[in-house]
Amino acid sequence: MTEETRETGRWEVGLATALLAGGAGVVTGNPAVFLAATVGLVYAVYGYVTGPPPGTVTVERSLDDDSPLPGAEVTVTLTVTNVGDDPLPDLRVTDRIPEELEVVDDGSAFTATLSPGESATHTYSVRGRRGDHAFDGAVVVTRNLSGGVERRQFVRARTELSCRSAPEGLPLAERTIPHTGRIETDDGGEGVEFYATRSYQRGDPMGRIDWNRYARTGELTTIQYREEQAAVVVVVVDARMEASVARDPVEPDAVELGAYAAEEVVDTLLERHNRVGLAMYGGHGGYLSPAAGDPQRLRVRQLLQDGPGALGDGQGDRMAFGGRRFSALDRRIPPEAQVVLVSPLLDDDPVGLVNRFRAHGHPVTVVSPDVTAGETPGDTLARIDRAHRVHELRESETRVLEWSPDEPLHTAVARAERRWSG
Amino acid sequence: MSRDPAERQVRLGARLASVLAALVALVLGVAIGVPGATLGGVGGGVILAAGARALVREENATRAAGSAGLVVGSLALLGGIAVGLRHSSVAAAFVPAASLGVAVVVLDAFVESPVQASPPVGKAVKRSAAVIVPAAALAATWHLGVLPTVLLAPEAVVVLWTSVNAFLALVALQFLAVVTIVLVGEAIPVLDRWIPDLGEGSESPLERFGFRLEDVPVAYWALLMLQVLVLLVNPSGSWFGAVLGVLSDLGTAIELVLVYGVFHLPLVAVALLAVLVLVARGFQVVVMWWAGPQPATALAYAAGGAFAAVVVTGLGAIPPVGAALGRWASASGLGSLPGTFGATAVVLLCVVGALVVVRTLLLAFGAATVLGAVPDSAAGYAAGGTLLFVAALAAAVGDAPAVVVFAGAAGSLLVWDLGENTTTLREQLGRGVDTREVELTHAVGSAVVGVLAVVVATGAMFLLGPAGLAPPDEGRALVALALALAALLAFVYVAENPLDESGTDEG
Repeated sequence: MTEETRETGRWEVGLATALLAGGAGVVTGNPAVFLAATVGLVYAVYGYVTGPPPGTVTVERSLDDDSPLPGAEVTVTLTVTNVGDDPLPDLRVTDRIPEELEVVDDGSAFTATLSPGESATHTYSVRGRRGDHAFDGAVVVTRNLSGGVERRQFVRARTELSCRSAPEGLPLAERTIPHTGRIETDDGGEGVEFYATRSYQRGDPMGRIDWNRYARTGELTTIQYREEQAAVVVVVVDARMEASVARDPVEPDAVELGAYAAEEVVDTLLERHNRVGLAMYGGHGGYLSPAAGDPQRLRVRQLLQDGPGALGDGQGDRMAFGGRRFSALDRRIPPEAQVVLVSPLLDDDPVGLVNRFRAHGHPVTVVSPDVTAGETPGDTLARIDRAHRVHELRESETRVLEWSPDEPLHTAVARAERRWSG
Repeated sequence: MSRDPAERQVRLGARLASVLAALVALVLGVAIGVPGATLGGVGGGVILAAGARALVREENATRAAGSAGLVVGSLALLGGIAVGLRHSSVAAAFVPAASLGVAVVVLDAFVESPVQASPPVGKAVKRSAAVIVPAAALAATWHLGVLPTVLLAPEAVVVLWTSVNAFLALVALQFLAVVTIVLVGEAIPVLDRWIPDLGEGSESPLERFGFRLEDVPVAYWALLMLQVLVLLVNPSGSWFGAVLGVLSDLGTAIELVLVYGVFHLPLVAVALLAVLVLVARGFQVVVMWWAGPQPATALAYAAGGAFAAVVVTGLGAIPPVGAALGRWASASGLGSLPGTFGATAVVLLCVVGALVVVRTLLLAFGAATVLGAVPDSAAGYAAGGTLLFVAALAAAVGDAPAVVVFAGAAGSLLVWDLGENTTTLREQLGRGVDTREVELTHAVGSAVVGVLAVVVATGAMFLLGPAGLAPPDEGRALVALALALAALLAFVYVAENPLDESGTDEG
């Protein structure tokens, strides 16, 4: 706890006025003027005799949610208690908020007058940003009644806030490889969700025998859980000139939005132990073979930010014609992989690409940032065309996740999940 | 400045300080017998501060109200001070100190930083003066009777000329026609600009009627010159009379038409209309230059000036009120000015004077802050508290009851205390924090000490009272003074070298 006590010197004013009145009284010979100095002197004495305020406060902080989604509001409740024996007439508290957090309503500062043992509570809200944040303490300034002495202290009160949820599980089509991952399959096997029971077969693990049932009926049965298996996913980002369209000149265009969405999708899939690759469709091209783990996350980021030149040997390659040829893509994408295509769907090429992927046996999910929100007749036409393409894709049973840049990606994912499960 | 409730909460100390300042000034004013002047000055100060607050805001409607408040407040403030100055020497010191003290305290409470109010107040004063000064000039012109003469002059000249002889009337008619053509030629493009465009390429509706001077054949100019020569040779026009005489009845008719100005008057009317258009255009150019790129804002700032011009002119136009204004202006030491230029013009110039004085005072206050004579933070409260303290001392000299003087002195210190406390709270915590409880606790503490101080001072006064009645003894007085000064110095020493152990420590 850092502490500093200083005299504000504010009642030196009493002395100054006393001198003024005393001097004027002597000059004018008027007793009332002379004795007006008494008033100033009494105030000066007041400032002098009131001792420093006790620094006996504790600070506690609580959050209504310590792991919110990015962008969600978190209510912070700060409680300050006077643990000393003397009253605190003037208490000024400012909570120190981590720099990355944004205060939503009422500031983090408040004032209170506390008797011994009394507490004061202040509530305010912050908006979470992605990452881990720590509140370390609050600045507490106490003044005595006259305001003559001020004690400033930093009272520690550590509270942590973790705000890291990525888009909650982009649901992929059911195509997996035999590694334990997080794609739920309709095969019974090792997993956590109850799937079915079957008769015991020799070699079944002991832990999966339904002992309750055995006790009840004497039958030996084995529980099968819904198997969660790893998937191989290649995220294809539409980076063609045709896609570099923005709703507004000041906003990021669809290619930038697509890169952002691709990064989020890759992060989520990698977190769930899937093997993920990345292909740039158009732009400078570039292909990154599917792999798992944190290094892959880094490589994906490099490819998205710096282009294929940033990739090291053996991790991926440039593709001829900037990856615009389907044959180039098809040759690289492993046969068991499924494809997530990130495209604004502003022309017919991506639809053709989806159909070819499907024809070559790759299940496809489309993530489509919507940049057709303008008011001009051209924008309206583009909007109608795009809606038509989305409809066409859905007709062919391709999952399309429509994402407006105005909403967080996870909201779009949640909406899409409801649509797909319903 | 927003109006959210939270901000109102933080202003509690500021409001308490403002009310207390006004109360101290009024009570002291009543005690020394200048309640009217004090009320005027204090009221003016409050209105002035409210006007400044409205001017600082970025909306034209409030700016307009603020400009009007500035004019009314300045007049009331300086009016009160003027009455005080003429009342007695005590009132001459008391009323300005009390009024200006209240004004700066309320200004700080309303605007937070009085220096911040200076630029918008300056704009309002400039814009208002730019309205009032022309209004005063017009009023003076009207009073001097110049305007009707100017307007009637051309017709009078025409009547004069036509009454001389027919030939002179004929020459005059031709010159009149030339002048009219020139004026109309100048006025038509102006009118053209005022009439809405009919679309690109379309002919201007007025262009079709245009008749330029260049279209007049040279032969006619020669003929006109010849006529002038004939007129110079034969001023009585007898030659032309003879020609008309030859024409018998027709000649008589022509002579009558010429002499009675049947064609002259319509031409004069048209010429006057054209002149009106050109004057209006000139006025428009001046107004556009004055209004600048943001006419609405300029108008809002000038609203106070326009308000003053309308009210004063309106009052001046009512004969008894105008006469009363004139008497008042003469009695105020302006001598024969109201008699010469009219009460309205003189009063309007007084308004401008008041605005300029207030602006100068604000600038001086800003300069004092910059130079460090007044602290940056809570400058208005510091200056206002000091002025009120001085006012209390002046009231003491003016034989106000001692208790009232002490209460005034304590009140002035309390005004500063409350204001400074609320300002530091705002500076430390920002706006929108509810500080009422803390401010009230502090205010109660300081008020109790103030009451105690008044009690102690009054007690001392009663003890000292009999001694004060004793015959003066130079030796005793010097000893008393020396003791008092020694006590003060000892106190300063103790205050500067506190005995407690306060300091900085790490824990």
